[in-house]
Order: sequence, then structure tokens, then C-alpha cells
Amino acid sequence: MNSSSAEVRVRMKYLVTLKEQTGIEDEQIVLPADATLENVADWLKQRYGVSASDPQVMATLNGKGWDQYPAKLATELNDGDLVVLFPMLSGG
Amino acid sequence: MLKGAYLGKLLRVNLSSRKYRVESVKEGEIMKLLGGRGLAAKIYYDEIPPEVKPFDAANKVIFFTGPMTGVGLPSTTKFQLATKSPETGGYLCSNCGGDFGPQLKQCGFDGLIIEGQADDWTYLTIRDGEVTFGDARAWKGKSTSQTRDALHEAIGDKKAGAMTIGPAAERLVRISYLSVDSRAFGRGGPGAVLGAKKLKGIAVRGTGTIPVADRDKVAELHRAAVKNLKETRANHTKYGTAQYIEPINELGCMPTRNFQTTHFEQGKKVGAEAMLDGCDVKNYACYRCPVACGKTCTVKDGPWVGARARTEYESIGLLGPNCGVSDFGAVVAANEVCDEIGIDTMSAGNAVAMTMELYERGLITDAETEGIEARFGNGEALVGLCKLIGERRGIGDLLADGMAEVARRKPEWRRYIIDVKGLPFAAYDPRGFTGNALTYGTSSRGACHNVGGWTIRAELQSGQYDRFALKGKGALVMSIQDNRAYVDSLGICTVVRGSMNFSDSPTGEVMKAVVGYDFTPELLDIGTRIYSLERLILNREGIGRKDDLMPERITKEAVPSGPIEGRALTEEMYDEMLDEYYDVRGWNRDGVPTEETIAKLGLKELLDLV
Repeated sequence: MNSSSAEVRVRMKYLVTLKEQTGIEDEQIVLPADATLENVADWLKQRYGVSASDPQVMATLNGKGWDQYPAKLATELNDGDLVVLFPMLSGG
Repeated sequence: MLKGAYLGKLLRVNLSSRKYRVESVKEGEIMKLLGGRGLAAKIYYDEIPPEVKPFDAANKVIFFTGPMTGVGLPSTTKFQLATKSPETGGYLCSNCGGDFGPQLKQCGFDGLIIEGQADDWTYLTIRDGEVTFGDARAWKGKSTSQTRDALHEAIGDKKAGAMTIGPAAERLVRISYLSVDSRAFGRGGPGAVLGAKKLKGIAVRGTGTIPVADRDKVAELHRAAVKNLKETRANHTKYGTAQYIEPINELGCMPTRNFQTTHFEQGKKVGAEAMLDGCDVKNYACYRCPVACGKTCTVKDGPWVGARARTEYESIGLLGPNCGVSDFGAVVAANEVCDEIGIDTMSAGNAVAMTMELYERGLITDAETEGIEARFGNGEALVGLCKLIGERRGIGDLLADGMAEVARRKPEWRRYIIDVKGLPFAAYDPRGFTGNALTYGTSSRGACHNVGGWTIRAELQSGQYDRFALKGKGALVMSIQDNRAYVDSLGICTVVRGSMNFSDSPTGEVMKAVVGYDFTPELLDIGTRIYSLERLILNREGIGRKDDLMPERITKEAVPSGPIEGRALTEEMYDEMLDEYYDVRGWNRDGVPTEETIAKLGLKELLDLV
């Protein structure tokens, strides 16, 4: 549930190559209360030139891939949400 | 039909008689099974019955290249092995890079079978069509790399492919790996099979040309693939697989202190950044590979200064967080011990973690560990215990026989053993990715994340389900397993396969250009066929549903802390996924392919089944 404030605070974490691109490991960002993942994507692009939809980037929200939310980029954010960006996983 | 890629011949070497002969490879079998893993499995089916034990002279080691092995495209380095595993007691398939596979093809052979048992320590040199049997008695006790040097000297060529075993394999340590040009057939103990055969190493050097159907087209495809890889695999070139330590840890999927939990609080200290800060890192590339994802790390300072190893994700995860160790130098040192003494880092990491838990619970003492304080987080204990295993000292003598044997002799330790079919887990905790549980359970060789189908990315990206869902995972795992089965039969590295469109839905012109016959539309079906062939082998060896289940810790313990605190994967949840998997496979609920499936896949004719 969104707080009654006009803002939502989202924790951003950047790992490995994304830490290299942003220059930091984590930060808290403040967005409008009705912010969605699309707002986060726009913010990342503007702030760091990072594209969350880059095939080399994996973006999660609270431990799930962004595409796994039914509303996709229109997914509304809640206070305290955690977004993590890291290199696209490849293994085996 | 087949205008390129295949030589149509395999070399059979008998160590008992010290004779060898050249045999034909049946084109009909190539058409159904492609090469590599597929053909190795067929030979295993035909020649290694269930009653043969791993160390019997009647066990064989079957090596098979793929149509792409050695061809002028990126990373055409891979070849396959099949044998009866000392670690699990059953079917083992394994995949390896290096120069050996391409050199074998340049000798004129698609495959090599080693059978029998030498009277005393022997090495082989294979130079084009000629095999010599050499005296390796003076090589006893040499490490894997020392033996490689000796082989290069014996054949007179440093460019020769060199397969070696270390002293652990000489002692029949059941988790001994087979070193190949500083890559490895790592899992399942194949090194110990060569140890039982008293075969210390094989050098191979070929001067022939591997035919391809359309040389100009192959060159064009090569250029396009290299360009693609420079963009898509840039991270692999810089960081190697260590780049995945922090993400997997962040997701709460990192085995920690013997899978007691799934997030290592000091994960940063063993991630890619720690690797680059704490080590001089040199890139290593397999045969024809522009990515060079191998990272040879030499520790710069601290108590482990000078330790050197190529630490991959799995080794880091299982020697590091799973043993509670946050000192990257200690991880490198332990990796080096394993490499040189000749034991698998993954099984060793699991064995050390189990030992540390037993010690901390007071179930074993200093007497068993030869005075090593075997506590989680103790880097010296990590290195020391790896040595105990390789040298069969103290508790290492029991651990050296693998987890299946540990469970048999110490059933009271069962809850601390994290394995399927005797092969310990890889560095992913399946409570964080349910599909990964199915991967471990249904892999053809025990808990393997490769053969069993690496689902991690799909479970994070798919719009159909998330990583905790149950429904749909059976179909997902089958699809990835079959995909991997065909790739393992091709002879290329999975890191580069996307650059040649060998994906979940393979497309492109590579097969036609290399082979002259376009296998592309058939590749997934071939993968499905191979997987069920392997399952028939497993069934014949007594494997059924009871062996496809998760260990006790995974189904009885919810994750106690970390990002996925509280997550559980109960027996009922796992059974639901397993039932779906069997159904999509066309196997019955005991995990046996039905007659209809066998007929549909063409296995009836292929295997002469009545």
C-alpha cells in the first residue's frame, strides 16, 4: 500500500557492471506516489544512461524480474520497494 | 548427405592388450544422435551394462566430438565423455573444452574409446593415426599440470592436447576429475576411472584438416559470430563467471554454510570485484574462443599470496559461501589444491561444507580432521580439508568415496548431505528457484545444473511464471535440458551458442555450411531423443522416481534468513513439479519412458528394443 505521502521511496542496488556504470552500489530514490517501473526506467536512463531493457541488463523488483509483474512497466511502486540491476545472467 | 564435419571413424584403444583399432561411425546413428553427447550415450548403452562397476576393467571411457568440434567458428572446443561414474555408481556424461577434442579430429577421429586396464602405469600418445603406449611409472604422484608438461615432452609438441589425472585419481578418490589442457571433465569422478586403468594421461596431436561443406560460408559466419560476441559477451571477457556471485547472492539463492541458508552476508568479498582487487587476473581462452571467459587468478597478497587458479562461479560459490569462507585468497588456494591434486572443486566444496557442519555440531572431532579446526569461515580449514580428501587422510578417506558412499556408511549424516543420486548440488539453492530443483532431480547424472537444464534466467525473465511458481516448470526444464543435450552433441561452448543461433529455437545457416546437411530443424528433437535415451540407461541401472527426489534439507527446512526468508520447497510441491515433468516427457509416474514415447522418438529401432 502506498503511504499517504505524495512520494514513494525506492531502494536501488547496482551490482558488478551496473555498479561500474553508475559509480555507486546503492541509493534511495524518491519518486511521486503514483510512480511505476516506467518512471524508474526513465530515471535510470536520464541519470546514468542505463537502459533497463538492455539485453545485457537484468532488472528485478523485490526479487522478481520486471516482466514477471502482470502490469509490466506500468507496475506501481510501493514505499520500500527494492530494485536491483545486474548483468544478465548466463550460466550452466 | 554429410559432406563435412565428420571423419566417420573412431579409435578404440585397449590397455590390457596394448592394441588399438579404427572403427567406423554409423551414419544412421549420426543422423539420429548428432555426435558428442548423443553418440557417446549410444556407445555407453551398447557397451557398458549395469553390472559393470566403475573400477572394473570392463568399464570404458568413451570420448566423442561433435560435428562442430575443431571447425573454423568460435569456441568449437568441446567434446564429451561417457563412463560409469565412481562418484555416483551410474551413468556419467560430461562436457569439456580445451584443445584435445579438436586435435583428436585433426588426427582423423570423431571419437576415442579407452577400455581394459594396463598392467602398470601407462600413458598414451596419439599422433595422427598412430598410438604409442608409454611407461608412466616415473610419473606417479605428479600433479595434473606436471603430468601435462611430461606429456608434451613425451609427444614432443606443446600444442598437443593433453588429458591427465592427478595423484588423487591414482588413489581412486571417487571425485577425481580429468584435466584436459587446463579445462576439465569435472564431475562424477572420471579421473578415478583412468586411475583404475592405470592410465596417467593421453596426448593427442593431429595434422589433418577437418572438412567442412562450404568453407567460404563458414568464414563469413565466423566473422559475424565474432562481431556478435564482442558486443554480447563483453562482461564475460572482463569478469568471467565470477560476475554472477553477487547477483545470485542478492536473489537469496547462494548456498551458504552447507545450504543451511541462501544468502552469504559477506558475498561481496568473494564476488567479481574482490577477484579483480585481490588477484592479478589473466584471461584464458579455449580453442578459437574470442570471449576468453577463463580468469586465471593469482593472489596478490595476504596469507595465500601466490596461490593461482582459474576460479569459476561454481568453485567460488561452493568453496566460498557454502563453506562460510569470505577470503577470496583462501578460495583460490583451495581451488589450486583441488586442481593440482586432481579433485572436483564442486564435490570437494560440498564435502568440506558438510564436514564443517558436522564439526560445528560436535558430530566429528579433531581426531577425524587430523587437528584441523573445521569451522565454517576458516580458510585454512578449507584448504586443509581439500588436501585430506585428495590424500585420503583422516575423514578425507571417507569423503574421497563420494556422498553416496558417505550416506551408506553414515546414514545418520543423511540430513547434512546435499545431493541427488550421489552427485552434490551446484551453487544454486533450489528453494530460490523451484525449476532448479527439478533440474537437479532429473538431470541424467545427478544434481547437475548443466545437464539438468540451467533455468535461472528463464525463471527470472519469463512472463508466464516466477521463480517460486510450480506450474510450468516441468515443461521449462524439459525444454532447457533438450536444448543443452543438442548443444552438448554439437561440440561448441554454451557461452557462444547464441552468436550462431543455437538457441531454444535454433535457426541459421551454420549446420548447412559446416555439415552440408541442415540438422537445424531437427536439433530440438534430437535433444529430446538423447535425453530419453539417457533415461533408459538410468532405468536400466535401477534409477526411478525414488532417485529423482530432493535431499532432506531442501524439503524439510524453510530458508531461515536472508532475501527469501521463510521460503520452503516441500515434498508435495516438488512432487507436483515432478509429475508435470514426467507427463511432458512422456514418461510414466515412476520416471520410465513409455512405449509410446520410445516409439515416437525412434529409440525402438535405434536401440533394437523388443
